[in-house]
Amino acid sequence: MSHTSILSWVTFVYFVSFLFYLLSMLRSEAFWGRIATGTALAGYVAHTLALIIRWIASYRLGIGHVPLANFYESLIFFAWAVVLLYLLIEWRTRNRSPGAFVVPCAFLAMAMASLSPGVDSRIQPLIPALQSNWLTSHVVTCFLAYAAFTVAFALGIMFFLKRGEVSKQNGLKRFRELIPHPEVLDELIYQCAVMGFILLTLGIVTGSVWAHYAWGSYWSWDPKETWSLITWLIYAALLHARLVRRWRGGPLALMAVCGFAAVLFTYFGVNLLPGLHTYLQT
Amino acid sequence: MSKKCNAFWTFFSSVKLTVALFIAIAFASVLGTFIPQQEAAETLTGRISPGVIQLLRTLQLSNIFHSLWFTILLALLCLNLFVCSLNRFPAAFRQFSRSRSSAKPDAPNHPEPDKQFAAKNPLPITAALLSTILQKRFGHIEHTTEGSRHLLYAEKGRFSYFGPYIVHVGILIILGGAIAGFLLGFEGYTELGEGESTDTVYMKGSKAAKKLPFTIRCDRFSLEFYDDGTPKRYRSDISFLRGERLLSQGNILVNHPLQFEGFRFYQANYGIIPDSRMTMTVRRHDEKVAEQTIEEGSEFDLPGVKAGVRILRLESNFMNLGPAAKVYISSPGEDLQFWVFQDIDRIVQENPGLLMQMPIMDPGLFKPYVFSLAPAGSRYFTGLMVNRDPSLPIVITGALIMVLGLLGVFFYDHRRVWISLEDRGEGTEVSLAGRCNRNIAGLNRELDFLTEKIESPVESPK
Ligand code: HEM
Repeated sequence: MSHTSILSWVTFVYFVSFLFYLLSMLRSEAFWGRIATGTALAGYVAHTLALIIRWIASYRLGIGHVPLANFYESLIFFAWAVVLLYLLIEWRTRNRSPGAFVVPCAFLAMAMASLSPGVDSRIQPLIPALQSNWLTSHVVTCFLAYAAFTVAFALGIMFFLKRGEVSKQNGLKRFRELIPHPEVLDELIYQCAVMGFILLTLGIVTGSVWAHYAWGSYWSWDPKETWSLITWLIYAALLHARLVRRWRGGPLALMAVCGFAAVLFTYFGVNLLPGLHTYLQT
Repeated sequence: MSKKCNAFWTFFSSVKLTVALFIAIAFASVLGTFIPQQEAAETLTGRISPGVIQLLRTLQLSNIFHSLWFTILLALLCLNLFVCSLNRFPAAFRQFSRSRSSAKPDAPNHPEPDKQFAAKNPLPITAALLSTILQKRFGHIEHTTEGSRHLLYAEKGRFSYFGPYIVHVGILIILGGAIAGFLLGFEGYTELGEGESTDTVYMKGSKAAKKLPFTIRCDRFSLEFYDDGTPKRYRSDISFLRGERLLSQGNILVNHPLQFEGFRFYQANYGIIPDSRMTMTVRRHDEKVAEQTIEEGSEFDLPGVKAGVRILRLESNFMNLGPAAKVYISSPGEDLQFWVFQDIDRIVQENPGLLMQMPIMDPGLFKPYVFSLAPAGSRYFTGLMVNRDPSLPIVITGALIMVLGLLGVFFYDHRRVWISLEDRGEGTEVSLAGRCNRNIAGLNRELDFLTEKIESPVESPK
């Protein structure tokens, strides 16, 4: 089986896993939760294998490079990082409820990679601008950061659901009871934001070093650079609000959600801006 | 301090200002990515009304990142950061250097206990157990006795008070370095055809010429492709010269700039120099006797005879028959004029007998010489970015400091625990107190962990 078909299956598996997480929330049965975790884990193992196979395949083609060099590969790695982070959190907190919120994000990224037209899944050779030792460290740190912010966003949504009006419907009420206590969510959001912030800082720094070698300027207000700075400032504001002003809960969750919008724009939106040069220039 | 000064100080030491500036800078940056900037802004001319363009220009919205008001925002952020850090630093230093010996309950900072409970093990065992655990987790501990009471105090991560200041100093160094680079450094660009040399580059933006203290020459530019046609490598072979003297040679690839005398050269662009000139070749009995690059008006002599050749006209498409040159030959015997077509073979093939009818189109009119015309080979040119930024080491240092500080902020926490143990015959009365400067969740986990350890009866010797 080729790695692309494995990845299509993984996409499907994540969707099924999401349904199981949802089911375990709605029926509050631990049984479904265990199945959900098992499914996610199986998908994750296959996902990892597919990445390795793709990596090896690129060497077979004589154009060997880490599978982090184009949009398709970045989406696949992003989803991989989201699931990794989620599984770690589930294991640490022994709470499965975030699964119903985080796993669908990974599923969407995978679905976008496999289904969206214009996303090329072929292994492409590295153009000169990408032939740099900084490629890997830059892409890995940035996408791990995006993954951490994605989890923070999902937790932020959970926070608002938890705080929302108590519903009459039994299923939803139980659903909400399974979401961790707001204080726990607040702490998790903060920790994810911190992790994302450190990684984004490293991502911006490694990106600047790379830009220095590739373009002769470590900072040139390129839209992608600028948007990563905007994202960085939003999360810096979040961290100051929390560390200095001791903000907790709602405002923090709101900032995590807003920050995520900036992350999405940095990742996808920048390509839509008119008349600007892309990263694949030269 | 005077009142005015105080107001200044209060204003600039507020975190509200910081967050407001973060938001303002972020917002300006958003504008900067949506409104076409610099060169791209010129494409707007004609598409939107002149009034709007005037407005954009007045508000410096077409070059936000180098505008006065954006610079002011950054400067305010720096000032804010500086004042705030200065303001808070003494307190942080006091907290850092506060005496360690605060284990005693009558010490000024001794906190109220957070947890009190009875442990099953007798005092000596509990004390020994706790002592080992704390030693392992904290490194340094203080263990004192006061009558029948045992007092334990442990702490770690005092350096974490400096974390934010290290981050802030790092950021100030980066911004300072960037400003210095902007003032002292330069970014230029030059294009060099293969074989050409120059000592002048053109500044980015202003296009002003700047002389380098040496000459660069492009010896060769080469391109490689992968099997599927994607570019694989762009490479310029460069020589550095002073006068005629060769100083150094090297090659420049994308991602592999070349450094020479403090200047860095980057592969930024390339292209083909279309050559409008043509090459004229003269053969005599199929043997090449002359080859010349010609332009209108150029002249050369034919070897072997006393004949001069002059190019009267050079046409890129004469009579719809392609490139052609009109030559004039002056020799002692006769003067001659005729046309030399690049594609004469094809023309004759399509019009048999043409040369008989129109000898003026016969490239072999001046016997025994035959003239032919071919395009002169086009060459590559390489586009090189040239820059010098003496502030680079400063910016790098700042970035390193910032990253180290970040790790300090988030992975270090000043965590302190006070434990007092009192003998209760069979068991021990335990009071636990903990303090930290940032990571409350971590502290709570620590206290829970200690409680669990103290309460577990397993450790008691049989
Ligand atoms: C972009 C530039 C930054 C500016 C302008 C800035 C500004 C400030 C200011 C003004 C304060 C002082 C608040 C007060 O005294 O009440 C502060 C505190 C703090 N900042 Fe920043 N900051 C920046 C970046 C960062 C970054 C990247 C971090 C890393 C997480 C950070 C972490 C902190 C922390 C932990 C504090 C609390 C200090 C304390 O408790 O004494 N700052 N910042």
